[in-house]
Amino acid sequence: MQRVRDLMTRTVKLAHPDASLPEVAREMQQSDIGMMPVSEGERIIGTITDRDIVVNAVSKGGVIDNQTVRHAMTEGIETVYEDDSVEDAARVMERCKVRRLAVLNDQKELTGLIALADLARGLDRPQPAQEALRGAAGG
Amino acid sequence: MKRVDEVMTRTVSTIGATDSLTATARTMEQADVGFLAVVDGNRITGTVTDRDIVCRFVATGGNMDNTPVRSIMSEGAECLREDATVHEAARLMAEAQVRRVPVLSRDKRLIGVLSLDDLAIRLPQDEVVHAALRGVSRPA
Repeated sequence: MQRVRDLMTRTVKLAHPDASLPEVAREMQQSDIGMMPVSEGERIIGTITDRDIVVNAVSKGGVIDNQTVRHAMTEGIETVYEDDSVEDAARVMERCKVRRLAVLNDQKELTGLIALADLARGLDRPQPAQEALRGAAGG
Repeated sequence: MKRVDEVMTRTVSTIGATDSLTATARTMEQADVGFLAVVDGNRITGTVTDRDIVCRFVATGGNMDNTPVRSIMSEGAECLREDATVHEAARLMAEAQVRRVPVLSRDKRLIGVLSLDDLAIRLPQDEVVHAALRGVSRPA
């Protein structure tokens, strides 16, 4: 059985809640990522995606330059454990209608991320990714 | 073999080329989509995604009320004809590295949009679709 640890991405770029949206957008562009967990001190307080920036900030109009992550992020974060099965991760994505999850180790430390695209890429039999796609498509 | 018009999504949201990024973002929010066809009258002149807005506008900063969407859109959209096959569609997406393609009728009217997700959901066992799905990954 394939586990989350086999397909996850282990490099995680964190955003600070007081960072400006242009700073975070440049990081997303340079690192070719669409989501960053938001950390304050030791705690993960939310996530910010390219879609959050568009829907929660650009749609409001005005100047983007000094707007901060805190005001555009989605609070909370959906998680799975490294030892969870790939099917479990697909089910969480489907239930929560998200394409990316934070991955935790046994000590509940953030060790990486897993995306729907990782599930699709990593599987010979793509059923779990199909199920999640059906649920998370467009999300 | 299935044709594009059998699996595409028939509603496609559009935005005018001179409309602001504020209007573009609101349209994406209200329609719950991350992709719009950019039109000039009846003609499709490009496409814009939520990611385009982040990488081409937010990253450099500015005022979204007076930035027209045409300044950051992807020009000259790759389009599919309604009678193209799903394999032609999957290959086009893989080559162009895009997840969504506008679909035109034989008389060049915009009638829908085909996404890689549409293909994956409707043709779960198809090898060509899977090759495209593996090749065109959304940024994690």
